[in-house]
Amino acid sequence: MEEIILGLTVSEVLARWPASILLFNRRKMACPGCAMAPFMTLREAAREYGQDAAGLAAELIGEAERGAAA
Amino acid sequence: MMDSSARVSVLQRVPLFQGLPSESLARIAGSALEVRLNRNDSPFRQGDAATHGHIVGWGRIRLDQATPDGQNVVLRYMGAGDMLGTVAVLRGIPYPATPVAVEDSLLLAWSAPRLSEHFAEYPALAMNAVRVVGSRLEELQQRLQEVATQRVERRLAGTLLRLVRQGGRRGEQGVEIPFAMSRQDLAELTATTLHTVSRTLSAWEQQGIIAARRSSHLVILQPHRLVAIAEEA
Repeated sequence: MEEIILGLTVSEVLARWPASILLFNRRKMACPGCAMAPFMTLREAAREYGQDAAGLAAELIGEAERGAAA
Repeated sequence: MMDSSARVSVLQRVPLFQGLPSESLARIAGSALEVRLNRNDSPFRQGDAATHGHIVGWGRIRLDQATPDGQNVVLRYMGAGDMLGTVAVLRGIPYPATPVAVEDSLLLAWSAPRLSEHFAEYPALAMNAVRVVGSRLEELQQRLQEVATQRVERRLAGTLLRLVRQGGRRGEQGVEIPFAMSRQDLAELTATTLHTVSRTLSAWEQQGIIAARRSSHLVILQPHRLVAIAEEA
C-alpha cells in the first residue's frame, strides 16, 4: 500500500486526500500549490525534504483511514 | 578611560590614519574626546546634524538605519578601529544611521572644526579619506549587483515554473518544457536581457539544475531546487 502511495504524484495525493494539505504543512513541505506537484512523486518529495518516505506514507494512510471512519 | 598609547594603538589600525608617524597620531589621539556608552546607548541618531566624527576605541556597535517606509535595517556591526559618522562630518550632511551599543563601548570623538584642523595639518588624511570612501562605494556597488542578479535569477526561475504549469511533462530525466523556447523568448518573458538569460541558464546547467542541450527542449533535472530559487525570500 505504501509503495503505491509513494509512487503517486503529489498532485494525485492532494486530489485524492485533500486533508493531506494539513500533513504537508505539519511536515513543513511546501507541496500544496507547488508548480512541480503534478510531476513529482510523493517519494521524490519526501527525499527533497529529508523526510522518511515510509513514515510519511504510513502517516498519510493512518489519517485517511481515520478520516474515512469519521 | 583610554590612555594615549591605547588610543594610538587603535588609530594605527584605522585606514583614515594610515601612514602617519606616531607623534602625529599621538597629537591626533590627544585631541579626541571620549564618549562612553552603556549597552543600548546611542551617541547620535540618524538625521541629526553631524557634529563629530568618531572612531570606536573598544566595544561593539550595531549600525541601524530606518528605511523610508519605516523598517529598520542593520547596516553592519562595528568594533575597535571602525569609523562612525566621520564621513558625514567630512561631507557636512546629517548622520545617515543610528549607532547602538550592543555592549559597553568607548568612542573617540573629534569635533568638525578639530577634524578640519587635522586635515589641514596632515595632507595624508585627505588622501586616506578618498580611499576609504572609494572602498565603501565599491562594496555598495558589489552588493547592489548581487541584489540585482538575485532578483533576475528568481524571476527567470519563476518564468520556467510558469511554463511548467502551462505545459510541463514528466520525462525520464526530469520535468520537460516540451515546446520551443529560445533564450530570447525567455528573456522577453522575464523582462531581462538575452545575455542575462544565457549566463543564468549556463550556470544552472553547470550546477545540474537544468539540461538545455537542445534549445527547443528544456529539461528541469532538479525541480525542487528550481522552486527553491524562485521562492527564495
